[in-house]
Amino acid sequence: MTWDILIKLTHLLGTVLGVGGATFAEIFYLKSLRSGTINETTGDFLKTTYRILRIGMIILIISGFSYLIVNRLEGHAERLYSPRLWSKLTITAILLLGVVAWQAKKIPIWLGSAVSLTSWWAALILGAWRGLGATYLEIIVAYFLLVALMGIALSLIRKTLGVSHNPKT
Amino acid sequence: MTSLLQILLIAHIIFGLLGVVGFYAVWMVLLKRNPTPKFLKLSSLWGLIFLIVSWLTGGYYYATFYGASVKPIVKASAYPWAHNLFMEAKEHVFLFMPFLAVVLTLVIWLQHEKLNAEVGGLKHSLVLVAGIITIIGFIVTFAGIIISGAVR
Repeated sequence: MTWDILIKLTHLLGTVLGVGGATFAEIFYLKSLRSGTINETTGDFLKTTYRILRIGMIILIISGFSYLIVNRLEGHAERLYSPRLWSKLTITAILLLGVVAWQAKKIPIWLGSAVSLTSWWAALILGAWRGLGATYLEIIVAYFLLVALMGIALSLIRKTLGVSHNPKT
Repeated sequence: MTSLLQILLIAHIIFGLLGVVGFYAVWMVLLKRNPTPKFLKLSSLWGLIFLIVSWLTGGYYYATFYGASVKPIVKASAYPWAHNLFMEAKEHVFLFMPFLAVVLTLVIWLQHEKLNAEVGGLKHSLVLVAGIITIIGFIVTFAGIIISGAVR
């Protein structure tokens, strides 16, 4: 197995764990909101999912930077200025800082959820969409619009389910 | 570039990232109402060790190879600002990161019993230091990509 394939596999693994984790974290959270309480089982599910999410993020960052190292050492430095790469880096930084802001209770839960879900899915789409011709600015503007849309969608889902925003633990 | 220098460059990047991951974890846990001292101690030690290894490997690469072989390429490229602005800033900011990390790690190891007892005070200051280390880590990382991208 070459380094290239190993890096690609670990990068995919990180993405799968992250996107899957973020999606299931939201589903479990919405389910707990509907019942109005986070019971022991749901709490365990959420804890495990968040742990998987963190592991996915670490794998994704290390494998992503391994990609960059390979490009640099193999003489493809121009790839390090690609708008797609810088959009992914920006979105990852927003996601990481968003988690801190959420933990510090500086942003509401619905916004934290919207940033997390949109960022993970955006990273997946940007990673898969080779040949995307958009500029950095276009991608970032689209990302912020999608965060807003995700926030509205999650609010509508919560309203439809008739749930409270603060389940009891 | 020799194999040793390639290994040093790779070590500098990967260990630097692992160091930032450690201090990001410290930052996150310090924001909790009741931070776990054991986790804080291990994460800060993890972050400190990796940052120092990254510092030494990057420093050796910079002192023995970058200045003579990479800097002229970057300065002659279409992106000379990658060195003039980003490397010049990176090399100075990078110098004091491990010192901040030593301070944070020592305080966590020696004063951890005060973290849950006090409201604000020490914990608040440590949150700030951990946040500064992490954000500087992000900036230095991005600067590294910008500089590497100009080597063509």
